[in-house]
Amino acid sequence: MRRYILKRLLTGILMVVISVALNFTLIRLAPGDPVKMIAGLDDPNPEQVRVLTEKYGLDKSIPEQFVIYIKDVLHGDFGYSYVNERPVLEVIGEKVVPTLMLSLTAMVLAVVLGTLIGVYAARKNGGPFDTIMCNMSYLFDSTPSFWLGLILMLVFASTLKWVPTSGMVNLRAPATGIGHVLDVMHHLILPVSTLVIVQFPYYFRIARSSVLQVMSEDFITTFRATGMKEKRIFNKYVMRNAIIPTITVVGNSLAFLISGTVYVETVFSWPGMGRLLYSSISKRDYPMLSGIYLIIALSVAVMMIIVDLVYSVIDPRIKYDE
Amino acid sequence: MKKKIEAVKRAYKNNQQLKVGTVLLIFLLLCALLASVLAPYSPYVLTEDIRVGPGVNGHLLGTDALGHDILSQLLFGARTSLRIGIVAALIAGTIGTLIGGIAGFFGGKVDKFIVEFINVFVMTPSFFLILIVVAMFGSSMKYVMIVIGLTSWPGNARLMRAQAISLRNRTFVKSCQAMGESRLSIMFRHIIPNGIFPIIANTTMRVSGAILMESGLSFLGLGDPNVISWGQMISNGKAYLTNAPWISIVPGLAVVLTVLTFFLIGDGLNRVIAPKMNANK
Repeated sequence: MRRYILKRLLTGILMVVISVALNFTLIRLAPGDPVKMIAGLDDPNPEQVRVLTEKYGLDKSIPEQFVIYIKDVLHGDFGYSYVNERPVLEVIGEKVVPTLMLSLTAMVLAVVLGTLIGVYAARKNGGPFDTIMCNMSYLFDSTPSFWLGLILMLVFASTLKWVPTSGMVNLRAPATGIGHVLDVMHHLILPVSTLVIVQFPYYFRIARSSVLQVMSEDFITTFRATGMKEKRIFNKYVMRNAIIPTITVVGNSLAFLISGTVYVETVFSWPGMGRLLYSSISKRDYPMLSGIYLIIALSVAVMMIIVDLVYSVIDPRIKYDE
Repeated sequence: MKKKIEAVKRAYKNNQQLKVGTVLLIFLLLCALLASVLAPYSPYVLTEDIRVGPGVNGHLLGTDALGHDILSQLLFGARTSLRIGIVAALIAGTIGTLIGGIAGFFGGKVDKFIVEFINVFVMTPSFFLILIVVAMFGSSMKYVMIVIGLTSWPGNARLMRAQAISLRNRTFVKSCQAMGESRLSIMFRHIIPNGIFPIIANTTMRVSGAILMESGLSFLGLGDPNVISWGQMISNGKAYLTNAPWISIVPGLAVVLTVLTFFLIGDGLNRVIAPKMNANK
């Protein structure tokens, strides 16, 4: 077990270093000059260029810049965003909360709904409910989230006026207390629904096919032969085995929670990581981009390791030493 | 291989998805190929009718805020979507087949290294990588296709590796080895042709992913500005959602239809390969 954890940790660290190095190099190789961006001019005067280049360490070579960056990161300094004029970590910290609020809520709902409907459809395999849900899952799987968001906005916000079109808060609503919470929840409805609709087919299909697969296994037939009640077989033996794939998949999606909502955030003007990422790209905010990427890579690595460990506890068939 | 094609033919007869998918695919291909014949206007021409609804003045699907005929743009957009989707998926399929084939057939240290590499690669946030590359290096169609292709091969590689491992101990491969055929030649002449089928199915599925990705990039304004794309059309209509909703709705439906087509075909092919899953899925 110990060796297994150690190995997973090493792989995780390796992955973070590789992806950050790759990303760091890519960003710096890209055309476009950040000095011009900061100066805000097409041809800033040489003095200004020199000062800015030195101030942000852009005069050093890329490997040198990388070493300095890694050193700083290990000290908890993720860099200074020259567009926002604030430390990168501070800006990210501000945006992570709205994104997590959005993506976690959506994921929990999608997982619960998808799994429940999937399990139910599998029990009624071949029936009308099953057929309808399967076709729906195909359809929603093919729907781009940004387009669905626009359609929902058109119907429920612009036409029916049930929910606000975009943003996270209404400036006229109370900024604190229960009124604030309700206001944010009101704004959450549409983006969360969009995400749930496009994500649920995934969990639906996994739950459905793993239940069906387990039900076709020999040991279930044996239980039936012994005359065990169908309900007991299902609750005690089928579910336990069929839920394992869902757990893996949930873990994998957890890893991408902070990066998976770019489209929906753009459509609904949700002030989160996705929009931060998008605006940082268009403004060539290198430290910000490296910071966001590092956070994403770290969260992916950490979640993957946790998932692997949880998995090995749930499913005793997994070997630790390989 | 021949046997498998026969199997596909047989399975095709009672495979609803494959049937619907093929019909849709033919329709889409016709739209794309005959775009210049079918389109009532040039997709770039600015007509006098600004934001008119579907059916007005002979514009079957209306016009956008600049007066572009939406039907014409839609037809030409099909070219972009299909080309990007298919090329990107083919790139991913080729890379995946080669890497997976080498890993599975050669085995040993090579295999270990490749498997570890795939594991690390899968964990890197590829969507972010695509965004950065396209945003920073320019968004010509070429880059979009290559980047999507380069980031979506691991699934294929895993499939091919499994295939190669199961094939490598078969008698016919062993006898080729005994006759002194070189390893590379065995891989290309026997392992890959015999194991390619699941990769074909998966590549078809990947086309949908690539099309969705491309429309997303165009929606964010990171697509190729020189070609007509559905994502861009959706994005153009965003500002007129309340008074001219068709500008966004129509291209969105086109995306759904196209993605669904490849999804159905891929899934249909998958069922042909694994008939056991027929009952299951």
